[in-house]
Amino acid sequence: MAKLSMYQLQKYLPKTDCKKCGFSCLGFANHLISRDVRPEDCPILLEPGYSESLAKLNELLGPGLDFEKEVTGLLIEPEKCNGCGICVVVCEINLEKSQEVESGRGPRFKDDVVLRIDNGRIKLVDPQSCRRADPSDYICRACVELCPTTAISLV
Amino acid sequence: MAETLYESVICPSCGCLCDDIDVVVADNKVKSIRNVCQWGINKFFFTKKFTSTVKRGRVERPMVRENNLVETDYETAVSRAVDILKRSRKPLVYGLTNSGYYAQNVALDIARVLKGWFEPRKAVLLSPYYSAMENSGFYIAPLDEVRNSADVIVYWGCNPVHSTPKHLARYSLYPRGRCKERGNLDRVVFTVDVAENELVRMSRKYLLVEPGADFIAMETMIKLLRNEKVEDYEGDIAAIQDMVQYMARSAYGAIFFGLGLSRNGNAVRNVETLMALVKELNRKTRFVIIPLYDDFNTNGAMQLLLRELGSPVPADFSCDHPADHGMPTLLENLHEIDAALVVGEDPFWSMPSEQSDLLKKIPIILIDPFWTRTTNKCQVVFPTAITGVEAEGIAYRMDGLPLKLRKVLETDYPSDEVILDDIYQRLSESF
Repeated sequence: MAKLSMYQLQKYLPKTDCKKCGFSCLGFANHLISRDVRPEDCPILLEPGYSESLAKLNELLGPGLDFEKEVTGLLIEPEKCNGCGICVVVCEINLEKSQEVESGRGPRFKDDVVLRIDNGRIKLVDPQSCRRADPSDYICRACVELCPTTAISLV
Repeated sequence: MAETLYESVICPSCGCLCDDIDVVVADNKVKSIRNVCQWGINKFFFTKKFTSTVKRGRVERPMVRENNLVETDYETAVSRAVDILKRSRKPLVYGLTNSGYYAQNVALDIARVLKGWFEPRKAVLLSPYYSAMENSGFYIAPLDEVRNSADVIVYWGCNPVHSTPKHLARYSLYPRGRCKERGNLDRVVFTVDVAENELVRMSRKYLLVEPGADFIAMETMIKLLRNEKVEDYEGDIAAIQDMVQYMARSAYGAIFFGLGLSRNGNAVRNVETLMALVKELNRKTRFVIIPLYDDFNTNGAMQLLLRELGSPVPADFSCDHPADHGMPTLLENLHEIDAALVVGEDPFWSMPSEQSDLLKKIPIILIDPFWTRTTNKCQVVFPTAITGVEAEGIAYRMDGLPLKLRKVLETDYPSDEVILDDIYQRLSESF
């Protein structure tokens, strides 16, 4: 799927900047891309005259994201991953939950971690524990920035 | 169906020998596996390297050539192999980097009994490295020490993302060490290579050099370290100055080098100059140098040569002094060779065509678990168990630490060591 731009989505918004949703129209488009909000959160779009725009926005954004993406905003493409384990080692929550990770070893079998290498590919095991799931820590992007094969990106 | 969990298994794929692999086995098959990279997973699932969906064909039974390759029993295959080796005047024993240390030891004995040529794979890189230690000194440390202390990491002529995928996360840049509690924030990486690769994003400086001409950059660095004038260097002198400044100021550094240094046949000169650079750096600070390679027991073969013959160069047992012949290349010797025993290696894939064309003319005995390009050109083929998955063995890590590989799957295939030992016993009876 091609990456959406906020200007592309803004075309179908009311462009009134009424801030009833809490943002300007351009800001609302930005939050639509990161799936923080849905088009239905805009009260003006629910009015009868905007039904076509609403349908178009829903078509562009596609169906609701998977649970893990919706919680963390991380888009993981396992086919790109080469299992180097850098994301597992740099994740702060992994460090808290498994002592082994600190010295570069993979987490032990029973450790309850956020990210782990499973069958040679990265897997987001516990999205609820990810720092990005907490709105106040949404800025954490260590695994995204340090991945050498760009297997992890932001939606 | 009972499941068995094997914890902290050693991964028999690259020179890192990661010891944190957890394998779940059910019904004598690997069901799932954790903490393993894409290079390692192919060993446990019998798939192609970095393509874990493509299965590799296993050689089922021993085969001998009667116009075509025909399946036969083990005894017949051993007799045929012994006949070929007995008739040859100077056989080649080649490969062995995917076998255990004891299997390598038996292979060396076979070469000795037959007065042949013993050459492990990747000797082109590691022989100059161990030879240069004689002049430059012994600058090596355990990888755990690098993780604990190193604040400057240099990758020269290698790409760890492809050749040793877990090296960055496990031993060099990202892990937290005793003196480096913030991991990558406490370390600096420099990369020297002929083209840009994935390390660009994590390196402070990325130095590009001409293929095979790495020694020019190294000599410039040595001059800068000695405060001599540099006038004739044509490349990025600012990057070199920055590198030298950082390296000289650091408390502890590590240089990892790879097969890139062996380009254009300049391996000896490049590695010797790199060792001289490390010697020069050690006048100011503490620096170690460790090779990176992709077959797990390459270092084991070198340790064997050092222990048995006292020299790391490929051994020619047709001379009175097998290890005292300078450092001839395999190509110079292939003209004299009239039979080959290849263990766990695919020369028709890895060798340049001028070498593999010479191999086509001689009978080859192959010991390999999988079908390869070499299989169809052989006189005798033995299927074997995979060391570290179906058979036990000893392997040497890239820093020289011996580790015992475990067995997680049961198999009827004999191990490399058993096959080589049977051949050796028959040969020693007849000589």
